[in-house]
Amino acid sequence: MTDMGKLRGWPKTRGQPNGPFSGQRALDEFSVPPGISPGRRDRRTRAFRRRIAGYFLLWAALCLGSVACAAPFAYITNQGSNDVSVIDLAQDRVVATIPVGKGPAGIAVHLASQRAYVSNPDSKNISVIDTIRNEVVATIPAGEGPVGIAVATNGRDVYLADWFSNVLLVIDTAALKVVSRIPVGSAPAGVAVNPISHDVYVANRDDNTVSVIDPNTRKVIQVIEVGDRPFSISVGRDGRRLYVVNVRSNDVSVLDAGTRRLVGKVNVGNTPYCAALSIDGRQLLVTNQHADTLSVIDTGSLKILHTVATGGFPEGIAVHGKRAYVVNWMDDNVSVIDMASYRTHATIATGRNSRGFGSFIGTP
Amino acid sequence: MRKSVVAVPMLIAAHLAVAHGPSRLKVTESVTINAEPAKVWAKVGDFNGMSGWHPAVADSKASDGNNIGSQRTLTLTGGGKVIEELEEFDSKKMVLKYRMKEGVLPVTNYASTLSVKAIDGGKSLVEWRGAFYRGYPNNDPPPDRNDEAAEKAITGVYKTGLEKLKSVVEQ
Repeated sequence: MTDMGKLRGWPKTRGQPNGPFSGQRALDEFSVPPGISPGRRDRRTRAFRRRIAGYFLLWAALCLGSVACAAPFAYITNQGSNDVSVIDLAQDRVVATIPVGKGPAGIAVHLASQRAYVSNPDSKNISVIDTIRNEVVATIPAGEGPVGIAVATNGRDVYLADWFSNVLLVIDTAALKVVSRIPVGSAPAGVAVNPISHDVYVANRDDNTVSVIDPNTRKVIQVIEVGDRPFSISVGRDGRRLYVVNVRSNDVSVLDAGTRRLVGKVNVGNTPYCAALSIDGRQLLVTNQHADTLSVIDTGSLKILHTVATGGFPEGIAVHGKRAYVVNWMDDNVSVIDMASYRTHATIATGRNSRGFGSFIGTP
Repeated sequence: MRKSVVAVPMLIAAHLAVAHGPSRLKVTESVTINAEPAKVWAKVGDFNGMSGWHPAVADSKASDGNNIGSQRTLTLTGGGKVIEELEEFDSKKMVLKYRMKEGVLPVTNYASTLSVKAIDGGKSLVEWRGAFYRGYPNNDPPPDRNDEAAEKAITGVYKTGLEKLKSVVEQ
């Protein structure tokens, strides 16, 4: 998928390829040719104008992939078809399908570095996707059962839960290899990074705990008891709380990120799986896999506000703007839910057994 | 003596079932029945009635009828038992969901949904959906407990069941 002109909503320019560097190409065309006489004022003015236009285009070219101007895309892992569906959220349609490793489940998009990291439990590796070219640029062997995946805020380290080895792997994204193995609890599944403190959290499914890891020392600094079979973790933008989704006890454990203590619990639907917060942090959305619903929770009162119907076996969830994107594993699609009306605004077909387990849109 | 020989591998299986691998599988089968949905639901919507229409089920005993949490023990014609718990029951929408607690099927974490929908011409569409993991929860499964074996077993249960259901209702 290289049709970035269409992808990014960037206008097509005459005679230019639609590649990611079309802006750069335009800049070359506008730049001042060598040997221009500096003595002639009108030419200088024209050259100045060209240079200004050039700077603008350079800015625009850089902007194509930068945080501030990034067009919204969702990267949905399809475990049954061994690929990732790239959804353009402006168009609500799949604009690229990227083949990855076997059984892709976990996903972590890092907007600033233009990378998406995919865990492939069946081929025991991770795929590194360049989100500008929408291509796999590296495949890194990683553990025995890679599942949950998250990226450090600065994009340097990737954290990967190894379900079978009971460790959290740290992958250096520059060296493209595993550089550290941190022993955690039994059957580690979901991973999350606190955007403020940079602490790393792992849900140890079979220990009913969450391990808190210091990203600098790469050591477990605390283990917190949560509900029965914690699977995924969601952290708000303000980094103050983390929400741990407990698959078997059908609830969400609310933890204070500062004191690292349990501060609350919310009962949700049957077999909850993943959670995401609204942009303002006031609502927590939880997918209930066996109920085919989404629980909408007020994060202030910890009360259920709404229960919204989804597709079959909803799993991954992410929020962009005023919409929630729910990945329906059973139906092989994504429900786009309007967070004002709680109506399904669109349904987008994906690959087979779509999961989207992780931060599949990324946080600007 | 014989009991303990069987019990040991079953205990191991029950223990391993907790730590299944990460790739869940699914199977969907459906059948069109020439009968009103209500007539089909009278069969399908009886959590304790599967022995009346599934050729592989010889006997069914449910602890609490169609109430949520009711557990049925199915005795299979080929030998062995399956214990399943009713998780959802909606007679208005004609949907029920249940989850396997234990049993002889080569799957773990098995959950299933049975639904009846009205389609054109006064007919019914019965859909049976299952989500499960293979019987062997770790890497490198033996052939009888791998993904294919799990899918084959569940597909077989659904296909033979729906086929017989159609003939029982239509007769």
